[in-house]
Amino acid sequence: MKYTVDPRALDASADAVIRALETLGAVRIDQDLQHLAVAVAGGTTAARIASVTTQWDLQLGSARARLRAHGGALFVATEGYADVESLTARQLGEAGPEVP
Amino acid sequence: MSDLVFGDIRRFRPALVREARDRIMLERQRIGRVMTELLASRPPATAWSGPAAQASFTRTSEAVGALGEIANRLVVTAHALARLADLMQASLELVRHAERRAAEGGGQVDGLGQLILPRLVVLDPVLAAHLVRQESLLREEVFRDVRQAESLARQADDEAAGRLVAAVRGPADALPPAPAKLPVPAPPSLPDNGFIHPDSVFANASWWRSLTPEEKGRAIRDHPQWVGPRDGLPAWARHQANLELLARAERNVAARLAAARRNPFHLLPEPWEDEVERAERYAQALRTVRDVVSRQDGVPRQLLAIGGADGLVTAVVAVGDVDRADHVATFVGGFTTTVKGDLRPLDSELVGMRHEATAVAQDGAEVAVVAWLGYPAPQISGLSQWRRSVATDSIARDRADELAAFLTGLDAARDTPLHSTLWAHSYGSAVAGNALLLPGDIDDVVLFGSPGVPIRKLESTGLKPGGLNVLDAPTDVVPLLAPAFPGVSALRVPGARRLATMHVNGMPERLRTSFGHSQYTAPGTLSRHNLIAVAAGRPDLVIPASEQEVQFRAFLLRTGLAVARPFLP
Repeated sequence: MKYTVDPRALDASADAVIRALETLGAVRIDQDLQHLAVAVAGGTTAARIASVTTQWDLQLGSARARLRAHGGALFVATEGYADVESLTARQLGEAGPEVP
Repeated sequence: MSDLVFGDIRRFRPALVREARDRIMLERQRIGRVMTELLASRPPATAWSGPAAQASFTRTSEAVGALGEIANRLVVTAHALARLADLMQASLELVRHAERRAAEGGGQVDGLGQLILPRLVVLDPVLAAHLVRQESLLREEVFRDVRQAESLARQADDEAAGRLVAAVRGPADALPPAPAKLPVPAPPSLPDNGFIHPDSVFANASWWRSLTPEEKGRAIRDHPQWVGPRDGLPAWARHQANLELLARAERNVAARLAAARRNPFHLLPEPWEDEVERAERYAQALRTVRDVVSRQDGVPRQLLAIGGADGLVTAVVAVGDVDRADHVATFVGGFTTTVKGDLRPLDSELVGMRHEATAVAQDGAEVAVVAWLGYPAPQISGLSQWRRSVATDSIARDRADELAAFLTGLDAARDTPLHSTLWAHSYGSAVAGNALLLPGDIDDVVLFGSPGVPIRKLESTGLKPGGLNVLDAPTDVVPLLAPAFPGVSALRVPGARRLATMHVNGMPERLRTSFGHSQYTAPGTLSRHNLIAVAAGRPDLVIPASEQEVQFRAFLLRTGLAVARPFLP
C-alpha cells in the first residue's frame, strides 16, 4: 500500500471543520421564523410554525453531527499519523534497532 | 384549511415575514460560506493520499452535499416567505381599499367585512335615486374587495404552510418551485360577446389588486389579453398590454394581407367584399392607432382598449394620465365615427380641450380626456341593415354595457376618487343614454347633438341633480329627429339642464355660437366652453342656455327652417 501524509494539511482540514461547526452553531432557524406566528396570527402557517422549526433543528443537528464525526476522525488521523511517525522515528533513528 | 377572516387580515404584518425571509437568506449565505471553506480545506493529493485520504475526501463531499441540500431548502423557505409577504401585502391593500371606499361613503367595514353605512333621509327623489345607486356600487365594490382579500389571504396562508413544511421535510428532488415559476392566477372570465355587467369591473379590480408586483408584470407580458381589454384595471397596465395586443393585431393583418395578395381568387363569399381591400382598411386603422399613441408632442397617451368588431377596429385612447387625473372626460362619437377616419383629428381636438380644461380646473387638478371609440358606430353602409342602421338604437343598446363598464372601471381601478364626465355626441348619446340606465359610476354627462335617449326620468340614471346636461344648437337638425328615433328628446328628460350654444348679449364676447351638428367642440364656441367647464368640475363657469336660444329653437321648429336651412348663421 502506498500513501502520502502531510500532517499540516490534515491539521488545516480539521481546523476548517471546527470553524464550520462554530458557524453552523450560529444558524438559528427557530429564531428566524419565530415571528411568523404573530405576522399571520390565526392562520395555518402560525399553527404549523412550531413543527417546522423542530424539523429544521433536526436537519441542522444531523448536519452538525456528521461534521463533528468527520472532524473527530480527522483529529484522530492527525494525531495517529504523528504518533506513528514519532514512534517509528524514535525506534529507527535515535536508538537503532535492538540486537537480540 | 385556513379560515382567516377580514379582521385577521387587518392584523397582518408582512414586514415581519420579509424580515424572516431576509434572515433565512443570511443563514443560507452562512451555510454557503461553510461549504466553501470545507471544500477549500480538503488536503490535496500531494499532501495526503491513500485509502484514508480517499475516505476522508468522500466524507467531506457528503457533508458538503448535505449542507447544499439544507441551503436549497432554505432558499425554498425564503421564496415561500417572500411570496407569503407579497400576498399578505396584496390582501392588506384590498382591505385598506375597502376601508378607504367605505370611509369616503361615510361608513366603515366591521371585523367580518360587512359594510356599515349611515341611514340618510333624502326627500329629493333624484338625489335619493343617486344615493341608492352610489350605495349599491359601494356595497358591490367593498364586497368584492372583502371576498378577494379573504380568499387571497387563505390561499396565501395554506400555500405558505404547505411550502414551509415541504421545504424542510419534503423529498430533496421535489421541492416546491420558486414563485416565478408559478402560474399567474387567472382573472374572472370575460363574457365572450355577451353582456358585461358593469359591476363585474369590481371583480376585475380586486383580482388585479390581489396579484403581487411580479405577477402583474407577468400577466401583462405573458397574458396581455387578460389585461388590455379588462375594465377596472389601472390604465398604465392596460396600456402596456394593449401595445402588445396592437403589435399582434398588426402582425395578423399583415399576414392576412400577404395571403390575400397571393390568392387571385380573394373575393370573400359574403358580403362579396375584396379581402385585400378589407385587410388594407383594417391595417390602416391599426396604423392610425399606432400613430396616435406614438405621438411625440409632450402629451401622454394611454391605449385603454384595442379590438375589432364587425370588420371595424375599435379603440379607446386617453390623452393624459387616467390613473392620476382628478377629472376624466370620456368622449363617445356618433354616426360614421371610425378609428381610421376620426381618431387622428379627434385626438388633436381632445389635446386642446384637455389643455383648456386643465387651465380652468382648480388647485392644479389634472385632467385626462378619453376618446372612446370602443364600439362599431353605425356607418352609411349599414343604412340598409336594420340592426346596423343609425335609424335604430340597436347598436346603442348592444354596446351600452361596454361603455358603462368602462366608466365604472375608471373609478374601480383607482385608490383615489375621480370626477368623471361623459361627453356623448349624436348617436353616441344613444349609447350613453342606454349606459346610464345600467349600474355605473358617472358624475356628469353632457349630451350634444342628441337624436334621443331612452331615459324617461332622471332617477333611473342614478345621476345627481344637475348631472344631466344637454347642448342643442338651434341650427342642428339631428335633435329634431327625436320623434323618429327610439326614446325621447334629451331636453325632455325631467331635470336635464340645457346649456348655452348660442351667443346672446351679456355672454362673454370671446365665445361664439356653434352652428349645425358638428361644431359643438369647435374652439371658441360656447358649447366647447360648457363641455370643458363641466369636465373640469367648474359648475360656476357653466353658461346655461338663454331664453333667446330656447325661443329661437322653438321659432325654427315652428317655421320648419331648421330642416330647410340647417346652416343658418
